[in-house]
Amino acid sequence: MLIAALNTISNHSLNLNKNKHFYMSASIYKLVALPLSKFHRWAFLAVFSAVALYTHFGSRSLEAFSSVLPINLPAIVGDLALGERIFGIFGYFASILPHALPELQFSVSWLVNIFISLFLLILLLLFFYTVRHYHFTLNRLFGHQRHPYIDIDSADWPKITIFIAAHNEEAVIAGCLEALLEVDYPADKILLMPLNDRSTDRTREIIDEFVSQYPGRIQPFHRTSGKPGKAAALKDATELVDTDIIIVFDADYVPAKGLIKHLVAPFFDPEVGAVMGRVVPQNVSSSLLTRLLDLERSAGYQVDQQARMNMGLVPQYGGTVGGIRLRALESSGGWHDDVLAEDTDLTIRFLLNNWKTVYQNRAECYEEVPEEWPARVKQIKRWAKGHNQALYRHFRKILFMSGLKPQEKLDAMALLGVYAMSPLLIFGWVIGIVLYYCNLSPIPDLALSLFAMSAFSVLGNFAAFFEIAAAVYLDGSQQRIRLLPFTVIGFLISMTSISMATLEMMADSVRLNPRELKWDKTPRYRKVEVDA
Amino acid sequence: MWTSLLFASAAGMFLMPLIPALLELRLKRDIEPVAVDQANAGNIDYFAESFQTFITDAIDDYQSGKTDRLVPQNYSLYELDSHFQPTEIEAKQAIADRLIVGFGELFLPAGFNFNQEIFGKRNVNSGENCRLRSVLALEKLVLGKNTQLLRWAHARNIFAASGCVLLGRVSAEAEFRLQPYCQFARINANPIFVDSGNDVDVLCQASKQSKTPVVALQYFVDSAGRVMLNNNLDFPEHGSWQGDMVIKGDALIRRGAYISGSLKVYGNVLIEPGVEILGAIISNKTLTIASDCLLNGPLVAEQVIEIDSRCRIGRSGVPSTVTAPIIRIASGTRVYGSLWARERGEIVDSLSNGQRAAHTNSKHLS
Repeated sequence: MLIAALNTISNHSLNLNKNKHFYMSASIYKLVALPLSKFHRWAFLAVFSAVALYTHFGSRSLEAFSSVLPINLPAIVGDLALGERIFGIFGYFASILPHALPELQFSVSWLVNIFISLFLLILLLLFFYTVRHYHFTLNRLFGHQRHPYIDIDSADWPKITIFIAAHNEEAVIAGCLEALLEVDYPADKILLMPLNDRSTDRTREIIDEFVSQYPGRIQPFHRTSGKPGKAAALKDATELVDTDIIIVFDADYVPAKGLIKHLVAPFFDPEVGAVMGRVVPQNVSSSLLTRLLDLERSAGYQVDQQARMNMGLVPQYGGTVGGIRLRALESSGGWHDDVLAEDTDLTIRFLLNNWKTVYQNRAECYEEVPEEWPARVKQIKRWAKGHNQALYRHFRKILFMSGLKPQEKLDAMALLGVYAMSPLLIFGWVIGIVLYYCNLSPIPDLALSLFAMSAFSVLGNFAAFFEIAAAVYLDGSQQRIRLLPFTVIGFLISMTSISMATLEMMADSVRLNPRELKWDKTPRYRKVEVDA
Repeated sequence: MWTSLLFASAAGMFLMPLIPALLELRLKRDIEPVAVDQANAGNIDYFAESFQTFITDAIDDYQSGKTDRLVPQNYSLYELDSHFQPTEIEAKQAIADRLIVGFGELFLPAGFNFNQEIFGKRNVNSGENCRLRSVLALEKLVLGKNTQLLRWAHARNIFAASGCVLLGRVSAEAEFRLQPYCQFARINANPIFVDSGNDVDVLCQASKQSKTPVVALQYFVDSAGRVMLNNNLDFPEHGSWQGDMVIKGDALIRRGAYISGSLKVYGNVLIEPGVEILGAIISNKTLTIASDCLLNGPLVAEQVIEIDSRCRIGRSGVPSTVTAPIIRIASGTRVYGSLWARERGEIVDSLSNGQRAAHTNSKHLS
């Protein structure tokens, strides 16, 4: 009768707030377990927690437990979103532990211990990322440099299709097509396919002019319906392709003459599923932001990507200036048009299916980077959401995958986790400040200093200062290294944007009707050439 | 007053390290994008092409009575077949520091250093022990024994006598013949003959029809049709296989085998005589190829490639690339396409003598 009453209460609570289910679980526990002896309380706590954790993290077969336990578990935990589960689990333990173990009474010192543990965990993660980036930098400066495919200059080159993703690209599409028509690759083995995704400007007109000017070399794909976004456009266009290799460019890219051969050469290796080239900002002089992005890109490609290539780790496919083997794509599940970072998603799915991604540092291509901070914030928030989405989808699979080298596995997990570090870093700062100023922390000052020093050195996409210095040195640039102190501005803005993006994702996950992830196009800054 | 001074000095100390950054931001001294050569496709004859454009224009000018382009080069121009005529000082020092242009066949004396480009509208013949910077010959280039080429050379046909050291890019539109004990870095032709002796037919025993297909169940084949092996591969004698292979150990391809696909091997690869492989072979370590093999795709190794006699890499009209830090090739082998040795490439009598040859010639590269 008591249990029936509790079930009624818990069913009712569903309509109020799903997180209350966990507190309800705690109440049930209190009623049942408190009269028991210490040993039985421990045993009951273990069983009850196992059931709760198991059901919260993925099992939908709650009925099985309900048949064993006299509690309506499906009604209690329901089908919860990730955010609800996380908050619920915290709430559950916060409410249940003091009752389960009266000897561990909920107290300030107990809370401090939790905070210290979290702080040390974050510090450990920061330390790991810092070491990783120092390792990359030292490898790039002093290690053996691997460019195994760069020298393949004569071969029976395979037929390829080049996708040029375009959405309202009237300012840049002609330049990209002109450059691609001039590349050094057998003309009969290359097909250009501009993917015009419902442009409302002159993009279609410009493409059609090229098609009539170069008959047989360009096959346009004018997309007027279907899901918006690059991944969806690529997915639809892939259906039309009869070559095994596709190369992907964004419309603002201006490929050099030798680029295509550099991108295709690694596909002679049957283990290679994707190839990534180096992206070089062209509009460097426009603003402080473009100059900082230039430094950041240099470090990301010249140091991070090449070091991963050198060490046999996991270079990242970047979604543009890159190539994909369709056989690898098909065996890895094809394009996923519900992801915001199809590049990271593909890199990891290829790895999970025994396909390698390789980086060609000398396959360089100019691009436009955002010139204004709002555009940059939007871009990095999109990347962060996409990356975190990939983290959620693939982390566990990578962790338990067999056949990967341990260092590959670790690097893949680090790659997935890099955008999750921003909110963790802010969280760590808050904990550190509170503990320090409340004089509650037994953490030595050295640890706090390490934390502060590591903070600026860890966040991969917005490169660490020593990586930037190494990249500028390797590129032979001169004065731009002096801008290094300003990178802290980019660091802070990126960190805030990423943390906001992560919180937005978490908030969406607890919404009953979450917003669909939205793909924001980065604006173009080149002016449309107008005929006199 | 003291408070203001304190704040001012604190602000000054804070801003001082930012002065270089602020100056660079204001003066914009380094705002060009990182250089990407849009026009250079990395072709082996890129420099030769640029030089040819220059020299063609210069000769057109010369024939119309202008020497504006040639004069700054301190040129010598030979209108007929001729031997290079050094000045007294040049003869004494054995150094020629001028552009040499030959309209007929050009003969260069032995033991000379030529520090500028050489252009021959027909053949260019160097004597023994010469040191050449760059040569463009529209017909044939003959490099005498132990000649060193420092930067690039291009011709329709090239012959490099024994002991030549080709440090730069050397390409022939048609045939390139190298004699034993030559060293090379990057060469390209269709074909490259190793040794100037008689053309030797490849005695490949592999043939698709005569082979026994390897039982597929021996290997794990993934959903993309690739063989995936986490350990060593021992491919049976006269066996055949259609499809790509990824081997995480070493690979031994036994005599007379036939593979219609590409191989990726994490370890060392040893290919026995008479094997035919239609695709590429990529090794993270070494690739050793015995005699009489037919290999159609690119050969890539991250350490060493050794190719024994009478092999054929690529085929007419379907070029290939052989690339590794160290490449050793024995006499009688033919390569259609490119040989690219990042550290040292050398021609040896046979592979068993390879080390001797390497030792003998190591002084040239050091």
